[in-house]
Amino acid sequence: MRVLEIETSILIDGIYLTAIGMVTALLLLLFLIFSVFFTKIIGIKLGLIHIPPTAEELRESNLRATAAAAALASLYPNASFEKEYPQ
Amino acid sequence: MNELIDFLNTTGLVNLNWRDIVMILVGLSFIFLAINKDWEPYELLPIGLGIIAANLPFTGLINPPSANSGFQDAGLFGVMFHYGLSFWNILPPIIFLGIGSLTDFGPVIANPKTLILGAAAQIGIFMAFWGALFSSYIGMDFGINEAASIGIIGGADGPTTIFLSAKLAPDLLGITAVIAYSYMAAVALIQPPLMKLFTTSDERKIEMRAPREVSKFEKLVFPNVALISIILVVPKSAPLISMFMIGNLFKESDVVPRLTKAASNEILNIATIFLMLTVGTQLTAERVFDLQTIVILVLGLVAFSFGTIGGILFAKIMNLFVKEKINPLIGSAGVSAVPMAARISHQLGQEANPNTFLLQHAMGPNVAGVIGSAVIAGVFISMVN
Repeated sequence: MRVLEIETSILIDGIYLTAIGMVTALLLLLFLIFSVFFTKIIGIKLGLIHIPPTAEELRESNLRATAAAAALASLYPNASFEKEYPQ
Repeated sequence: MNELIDFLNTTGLVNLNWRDIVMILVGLSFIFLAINKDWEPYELLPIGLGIIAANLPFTGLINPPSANSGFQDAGLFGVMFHYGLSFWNILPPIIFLGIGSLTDFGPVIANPKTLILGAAAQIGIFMAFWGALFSSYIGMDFGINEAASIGIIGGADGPTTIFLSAKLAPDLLGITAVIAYSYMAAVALIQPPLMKLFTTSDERKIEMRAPREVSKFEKLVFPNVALISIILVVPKSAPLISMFMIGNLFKESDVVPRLTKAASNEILNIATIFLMLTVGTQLTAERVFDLQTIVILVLGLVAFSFGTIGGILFAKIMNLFVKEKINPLIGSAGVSAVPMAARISHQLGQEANPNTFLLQHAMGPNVAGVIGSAVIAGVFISMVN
């Protein structure tokens, strides 16, 4: 029997090949993605991976420190930290 | 006088027909493109020489060895083809060893979600596969084996195409290999119009954060996990995947620098010479002057185009769900063609926005494309055989 000018058996084989080929490639690559995340977690736990803060994280941390200093200065404008905490 | 005529009849000069001459001109044009245009010179130069050698009459260079006709009748390139490809098929895995030793999985590990783009770009393989099957409408008669060999051109990976064709459709080997390498050489012409057509100017301008630094530990674990998991699921992909990962482990281990150097230089170069010469010699006039060749040429273009579009569209779909946007231009690198496709993504990104640096990011789908097409080749071999 022929469907769309192709033998039915070839059509069915083609559908199986397409489905299995695409799904296999996708699942294997998904597994590799999962393995990368898993390796990263294990590596951090074992102390084998050190992730330095990104430039954005550093900038945010600097901004927070500046904001905290500004807030402190506005709350206690006359405070002298040198007197309270002599060096 | 008769002796002179007999001698002349044994020369190639009087037996050269117009088809041989056209093929010799094709070989010369390959050599011209390689030398003058620097188009894939490592492939096109030996392929061009192979085409010329194979199409000169009466050389017997491509006679295969066989027990019936006597092994001494076998031609030099016939022996190379028989043992290097059709019978043992060892040259593509050896090439993969070299490629593995040159590959850096760092960008993939730093941004693993780009691996998905490598899978999405494999859609081109199946478009060409179905195109080959439906070509029965125009009188072609490709079976599943031939359709799979034609489809794999969309993987844009020369050794994988050769490996699969040698296993499933040896008669198409020369054509599919040359078409794959020719389109790989022409990615700079094929991909940019499609990339511009399927992305907006704003999308091309998307800046991606520089990938994080990847630790040695991660770079050592990844090829091991990939080797074991892929081969367990698709054992028929083992020749390609195992050599690829072994080459990479040589490099990342840092303990066998001589082996890394040998794999990435001497072994890769020697295998390239034999592989490309052999592929060139498969392009004889009888095989090329056929409607089938033109159909495969068109299907190869379909495969490349759909692979490119598939990767781009999937990147756009991913952008609907991820917090950090991906520049969809990197999706096109999923067709493999390492590293040209990644370079094109980078160049187009730079054209749109000089602050967009995509080379590192595009190497993720690029490497994933190599793995994806080898996996699909393994699935084809397992199921079709």
